[in-house]
Amino acid sequence: MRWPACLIFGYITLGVQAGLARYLAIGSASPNFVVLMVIFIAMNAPRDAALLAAFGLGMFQDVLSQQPLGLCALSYGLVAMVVVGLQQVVYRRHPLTHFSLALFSSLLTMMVIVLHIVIRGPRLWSPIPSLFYSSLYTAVLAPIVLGLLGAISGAFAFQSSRRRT
Amino acid sequence: MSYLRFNHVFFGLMTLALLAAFVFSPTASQRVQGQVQGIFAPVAWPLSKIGAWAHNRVAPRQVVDDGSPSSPRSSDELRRENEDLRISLRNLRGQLERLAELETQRSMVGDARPFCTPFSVVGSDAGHRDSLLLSGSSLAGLREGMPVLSAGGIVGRLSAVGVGGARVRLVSDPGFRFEARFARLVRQPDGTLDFPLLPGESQVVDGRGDGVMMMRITEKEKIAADLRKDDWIVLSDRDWPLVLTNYRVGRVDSILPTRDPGFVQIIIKPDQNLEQLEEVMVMNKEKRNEQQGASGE
Repeated sequence: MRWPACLIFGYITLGVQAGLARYLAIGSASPNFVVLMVIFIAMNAPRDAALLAAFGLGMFQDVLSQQPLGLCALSYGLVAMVVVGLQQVVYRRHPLTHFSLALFSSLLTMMVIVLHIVIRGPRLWSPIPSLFYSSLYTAVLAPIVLGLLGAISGAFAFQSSRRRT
Repeated sequence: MSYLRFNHVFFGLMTLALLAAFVFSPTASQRVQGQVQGIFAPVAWPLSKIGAWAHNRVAPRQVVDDGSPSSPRSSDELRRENEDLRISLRNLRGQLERLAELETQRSMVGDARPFCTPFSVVGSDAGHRDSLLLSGSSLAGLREGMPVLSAGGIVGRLSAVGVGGARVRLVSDPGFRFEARFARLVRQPDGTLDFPLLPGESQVVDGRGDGVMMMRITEKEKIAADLRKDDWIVLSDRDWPLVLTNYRVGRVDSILPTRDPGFVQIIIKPDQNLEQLEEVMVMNKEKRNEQQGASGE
């Protein structure tokens, strides 16, 4: 994997998330472009690079949020571990794969956030429905965003798994 | 061997993230966040401007014209100016009341604006919380805890400030707490508008996330205040600067019963979507105000 490309696109994704996501919100549900970037990298990159990139993206998303540092890093690390494990068994370019992986990943992230609410508080359950709707919204956008990223995947110079082995 | 080594490193990072998120104090991570959040401004800021422009084209913000509800004036500019004037008037009245109590009249009376500096909003919270990223930093004199205002009222307080940027924790963020009272715009027989405080003591308002705040009061208090939908919530908290007393925070969105008999839950929403603000005013000249007050005494 070409790390400079990964850094540049990661930087842009985080900027998009901070600058644009609020205007794309439907009600209280806003899309999470960073989780889609994590899925894209985890689907295509070698295992170690994918895990490291996912963790880094999560850490920087935490920096751009009021939430404690490490929450997204932990979530995306877990997401990447699962998605990397599925690399060989999913059809990477199929929209249904994108939708289901995005839904799963967003829900996993949501579960980590809910766990954080339960353990550290404040125990407010009102944001949970919006987290769920955001997960759905992100999953719906996934085929479009991952499709676009797939079209420029050459910039990342991902190696196919056969070449790697 | 290197494979094993990477696993160890990754496991270590995940453990560190787990500890930072679930064990360590959030204030520790906020110090780190304040130093680096501004590095995304070159992308976030232009996208935010484009997003705001597109959003205003598709769904322009409707300012409620309280001054003339039956025949709204045509110019948005006029409405906003009118709104600002009313905020200033209410604000001055609140200050006067408090100042009379403290017997320090004259010295500190004034609009909150002279004590504020405008800062552009670079972006909103990248996670699930209610916050805004500002273009300012500690180099511009910003410090944690400074109040943040907009034309619509109180926005929040600065929560993570560093050389790399500053973040505003919005009043609706979960766990944000302050005291407030109810007020209502009333048209007098002579056509002038009054903004009296409704009967009752200050009550605690809690941020609930997603742009919502909540207050819990007794049925008796609700009846005594004759509380209705669209009544205003105004700041009445001694932990905030005096100059912000009776500054508005939001409107009563709904009044709901609770499981506990004798209590009602007041759902409050800001007058505008705080996460879509393009510019905010940070009250970073508070010290000068206090010094002026001291010299006046």
